[in-house]
Amino acid sequence: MTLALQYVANGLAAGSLYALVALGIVLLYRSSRVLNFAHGDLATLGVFLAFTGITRGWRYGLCLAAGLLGAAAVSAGFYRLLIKPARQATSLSLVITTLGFALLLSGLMVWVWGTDTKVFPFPLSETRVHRLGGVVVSELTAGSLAVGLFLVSGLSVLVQKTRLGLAMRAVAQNPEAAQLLGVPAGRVLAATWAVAGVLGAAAGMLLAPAVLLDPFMMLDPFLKGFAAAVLGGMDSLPGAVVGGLLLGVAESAFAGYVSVKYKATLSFVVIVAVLLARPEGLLGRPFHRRV
Amino acid sequence: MTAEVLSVLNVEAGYRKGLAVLRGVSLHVREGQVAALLGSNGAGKTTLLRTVMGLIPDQPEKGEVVFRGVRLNGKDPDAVTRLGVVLVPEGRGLFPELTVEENLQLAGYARRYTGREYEAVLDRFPVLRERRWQQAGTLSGGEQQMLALARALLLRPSLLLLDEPSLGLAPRVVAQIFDILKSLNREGLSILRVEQNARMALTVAHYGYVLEAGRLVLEGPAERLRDDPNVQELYLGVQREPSPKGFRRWRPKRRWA
Repeated sequence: MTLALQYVANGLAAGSLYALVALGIVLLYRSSRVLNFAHGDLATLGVFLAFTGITRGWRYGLCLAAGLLGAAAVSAGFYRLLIKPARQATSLSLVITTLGFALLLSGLMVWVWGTDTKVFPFPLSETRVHRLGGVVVSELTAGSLAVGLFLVSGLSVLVQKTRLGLAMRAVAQNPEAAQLLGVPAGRVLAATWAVAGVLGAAAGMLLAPAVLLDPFMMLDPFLKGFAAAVLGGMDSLPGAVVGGLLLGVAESAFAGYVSVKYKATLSFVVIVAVLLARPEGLLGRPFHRRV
Repeated sequence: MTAEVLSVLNVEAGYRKGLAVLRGVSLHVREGQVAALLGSNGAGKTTLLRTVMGLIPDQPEKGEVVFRGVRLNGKDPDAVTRLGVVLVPEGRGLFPELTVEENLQLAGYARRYTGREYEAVLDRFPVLRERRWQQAGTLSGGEQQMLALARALLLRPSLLLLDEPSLGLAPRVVAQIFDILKSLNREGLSILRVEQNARMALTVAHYGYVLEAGRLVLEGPAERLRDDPNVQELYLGVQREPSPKGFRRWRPKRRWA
């Protein structure tokens, strides 16, 4: 029993990071109908920006904020300069654009920072642990879960309660109708991309202390986040959170009870299974093919 | 002669290169007047409104759209809306999953409306006050049209473009909406309405245009159009000239001047 709880605790911590990544993916898919394959690399770029500041000895909090803002700016700029001008592009060519941008970013990071792994200094440690009942929780685990939940609720407040959030929902549902109400759809979408960039970079910063920082750090978490998004339903923000947490727990239980070696495969199995059994995801809306 | 609010000058536009839907259309809406644009299916009425709003990228191909001396060509729809040209599109453009209140709030995104403006609009459409917290998709057709109009009014338009405001509504609701339009016009709002139903369009209008296959074929004051034999036969369903055997012509003769 304690063991099971242990797996759940570890799974939730990993899952909250997947949820952050998935939220970024779903946010963009819902509003601009683009699957952003550059999401992971954008996040890594944010972490590297923060890392550079920290190694120069600048104020720690300031560096993290700068990293988040940097990722936001690059994400919004990517939308403004490459995605938005491609007005008549098919969704496939947009996906390829994001793939190209991902390669560009990772190439840039290899060029500037090199491929060797770096230790990302972080105030919470993975080795200092607390015991709750029989469950061992490291500071980092507890921290990522807390920060993850904080960001998720922050996003939900932004989307549900603010003017910008209302405009974001309107533009996602029907950009043309939103423009006819004077809502500047382009600027609202750029803001959405910026928010997605912040979520990704935050996930990257929580992940970096655990896995060491290198230009390809987010490759695996991005795929997990993508699987979580598919699991929850590509159209649903709550779905992304539920999908992320579920995938995290399932993965940790799978590693514990079945096989650590094939842990990474699980997310792909999930994608295939969801697409076969319930293509709209757990909380998504069913598709209807119009003939 | 009053000044023109909107001038559409020799506009050619379409959705694909080489496939013009509008082929040199010129029309004017005068300050404080209601203009009606008639035409059958596929004549290009909706395309004209979409071109004015800038909803079709890189259109018009040729010609100019001028609103109070400002050239609208190449402007984004949200910019055109903020200038004071407000379109209630075909299908009303509501957000069915948002509440009535949220739909109204969106009209205040670019320019916040005052509490007094909000109350004034809701006084005009009392039914929306009752339904404020309901999802817009759950409203009846007439209520949805009222919501679309209310949203448009909150944008404080100088010129209102309406794409078939009477489509799919019960006659009583249509009459109600026309009364609202009439009183809005009396308060000084200029309106350009697109209608398939010529009889309804010409009852509330000062001036009318008839669009056919992308060209304007007839224009004139509304009363004159109402009495025009061609309009009567083609759009008002007045039957003239029975054939020798008493059959109605399957394809009415067009005698454009």
